[in-house]
Amino acid sequence: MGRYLIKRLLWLVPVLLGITFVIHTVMSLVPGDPALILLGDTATREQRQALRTELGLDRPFMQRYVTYVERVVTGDLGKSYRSRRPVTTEIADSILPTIKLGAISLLFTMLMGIPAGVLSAVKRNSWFDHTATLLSLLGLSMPVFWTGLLLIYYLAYKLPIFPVGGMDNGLMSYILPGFTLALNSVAMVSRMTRSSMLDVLQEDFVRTARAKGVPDRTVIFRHALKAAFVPILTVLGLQVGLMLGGAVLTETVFSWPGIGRAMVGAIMSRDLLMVQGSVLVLATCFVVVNLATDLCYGFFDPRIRYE
Amino acid sequence: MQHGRITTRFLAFVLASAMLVVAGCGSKQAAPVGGNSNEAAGGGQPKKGGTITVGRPTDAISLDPQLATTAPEVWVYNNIFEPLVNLDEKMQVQPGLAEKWEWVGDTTLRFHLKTGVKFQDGTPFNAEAVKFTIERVINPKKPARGRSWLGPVTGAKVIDENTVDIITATPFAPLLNNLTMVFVAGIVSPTAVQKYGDDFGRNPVGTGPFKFQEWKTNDSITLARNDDYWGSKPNLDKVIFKVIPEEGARMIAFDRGDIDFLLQPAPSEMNRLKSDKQTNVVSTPGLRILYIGLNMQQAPTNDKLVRQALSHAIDMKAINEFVVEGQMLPAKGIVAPAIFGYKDVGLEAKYNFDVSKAAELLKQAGYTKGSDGIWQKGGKPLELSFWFSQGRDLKDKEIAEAVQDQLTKLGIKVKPYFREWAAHLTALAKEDPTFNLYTMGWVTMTGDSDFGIYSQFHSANAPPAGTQYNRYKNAEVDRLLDEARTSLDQAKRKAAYETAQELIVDDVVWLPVYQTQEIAVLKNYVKGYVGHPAEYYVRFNGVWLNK
Repeated sequence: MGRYLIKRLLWLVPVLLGITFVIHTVMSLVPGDPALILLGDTATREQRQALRTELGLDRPFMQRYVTYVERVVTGDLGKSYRSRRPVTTEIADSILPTIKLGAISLLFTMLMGIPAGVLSAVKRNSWFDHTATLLSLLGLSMPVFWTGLLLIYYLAYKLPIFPVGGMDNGLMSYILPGFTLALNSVAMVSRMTRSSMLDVLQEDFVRTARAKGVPDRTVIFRHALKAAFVPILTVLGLQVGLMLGGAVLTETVFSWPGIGRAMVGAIMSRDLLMVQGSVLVLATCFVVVNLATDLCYGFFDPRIRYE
Repeated sequence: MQHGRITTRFLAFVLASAMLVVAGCGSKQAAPVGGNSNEAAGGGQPKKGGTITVGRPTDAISLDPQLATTAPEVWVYNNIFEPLVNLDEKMQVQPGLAEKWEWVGDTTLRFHLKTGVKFQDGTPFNAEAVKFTIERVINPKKPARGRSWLGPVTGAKVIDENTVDIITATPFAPLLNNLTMVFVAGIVSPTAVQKYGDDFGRNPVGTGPFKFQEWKTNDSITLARNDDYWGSKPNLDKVIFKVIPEEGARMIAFDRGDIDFLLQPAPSEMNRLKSDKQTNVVSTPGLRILYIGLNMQQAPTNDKLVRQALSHAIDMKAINEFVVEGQMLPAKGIVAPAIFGYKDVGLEAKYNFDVSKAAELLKQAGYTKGSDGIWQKGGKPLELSFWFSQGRDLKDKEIAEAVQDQLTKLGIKVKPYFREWAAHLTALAKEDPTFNLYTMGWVTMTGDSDFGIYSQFHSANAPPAGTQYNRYKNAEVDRLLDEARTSLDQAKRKAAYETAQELIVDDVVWLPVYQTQEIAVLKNYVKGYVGHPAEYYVRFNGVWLNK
């Protein structure tokens, strides 16, 4: 287990190196001169040149990349082109709201997706199963900015129960954005739970448990669900990644001060170091979550060994 | 099971609601348009206290006036910092931190400062602070973002505690107006700048009526009343600038009363807001001109006859009426009427929509209409490359599409190139680009034609040196603009700008579309707010809440 963990963590290094290189290349290829964007359309050539020098943009591509990696190794992600604040500070400001929102939405996903999937499997082809299928389809196909706005219109305006957005109203602030962000995942997870449960419910050990007179509830939730959980866990792990990196629309609709919005702002104004830093941090989160998911497999399926 | 039922019911509810919304949209009738005013004054004696919440789409990047210069920043720090001189609502220069000023020779502008003024951190405001700020702007290693506005300024010289000279290398007549721009020369506290370094943008200290209190990134910025303000003390305790990026959500927050003051309201909501009795819409004719620019070096727009034909081929009236939906004012020139040096050149009559005249001019230019209905010359079709962007100015993309449609109908081929804003700007600034037409907005914020006309029409400012994307080159215009830039005789300057405008309009360099309106939407209990033509000019000194 320990060796496996170390091995996996070491893999992080080439993965992150690859990611920084790709994002560095992409951002260099994207049209739009950062100096021109930052200075606006009033600046002179001399001014733009001075800014390019200040930001190090006048140096060759590889040289910039190597300097960047050297700095990243020491924990320095550079300074934002726009605000001149350290990128780490900028990210620290906005990643926490995203993580909080992701956590709430993960909770929603599990509380709604798993029971719905289990019930669909148990009552296969019942009206519940068909409705759940339809709703999953809806959940997957409704764009979050549309669902989000509808929720705001009805539950924050017509019936003013929730705030329109922001994080100022304690737990109440989390309900609508958390639910909106979770919708897609609920659909995915419930579908996965259903198919995985259907497989497991056919297995001999379930029949044995039933034959032994174990109550239905225990058979389903303790025996079958645990055995069916590995693929569900995989989907959950991937959804967490999406919740962190793909929350930008939800963040926008609900005025959520998260990293998605910060990153889009940075991309629009070609704040390269801010973009690179954010991607790096999000990618690290993604990889770590996946690692954690992998480590959890062993809990649900003791046959899995980490070597 | 229980859970499944709730989800079912909920989603059924959402679906039903969606249908209602769709049905509601269909039957919505246009509301009557209320009267515009640029003032939400009246209401008797101002009341002290209270907090106003301002809703806007984007957060600031930094509150350092020498680092961040766009609307989301200036809206906020215009209440924290002050320049030496101010522009009033009529775009006239008025005393600010300087009581008086005079030119001492051609290259020295002397300011006599107000005495007894202190920065919000207690640092005394004096000539040293002005010198510090000016040198911070022109620092060659780390120039301020707005450095170019100070042109040939080489430094500042302290004469005594309350007198300071700003010195230029060559005569620079627009200097006084340019110094009114808070995002160029808002005076900063030297002690605070030295204390916070690069973090000054998060700890801004100026002399203004409100001081910085708190910043929650991408959420809100709070300012508190500066009780030691040298001028008439503000009424409000606090001003909160709240970020609500989504347009619909912002409108709902306003309707709910979460916010009292709305910046950049949704154009589609204007009619409803104007007819709402709880709401006051303050609109002021602005200073930005949205235009379609022509490339003077690239065939076929390098041919004056073709340009003239284009000036009659586009129905700007229809575009303003149906595309812009009357939200803006039809452009009357290449600068707004409130700008010093503006001349009414009779643009509407000169560039009137007249298809037969356009056809006549194309014939004169040697074009004939082919059997496919396309104008051509020497077997080559008349084709224009049109570069545009979206979302920078109201309906910019839609206008470009309407123009493309109109020209196509007249037998002029248009090749559209749509780019995201940053890419659009970079493409235009390249050397020898291949466009014929482009869309752009330009705002003469200083109130002086130098910033509007010199920067946009002087050949010295063509890329890569500057931002004259038209690549216009007219020696006489250059001479007039140089004269207006260097002469300190205002009457002479005005005459030069007037002649230059006539020449430029005659050469058909821009096809101006609209002049902006600066719109603020406030709850009717918000009193004392006076609209300003200059973008970003939102100040809360005189504002109070009648509730």
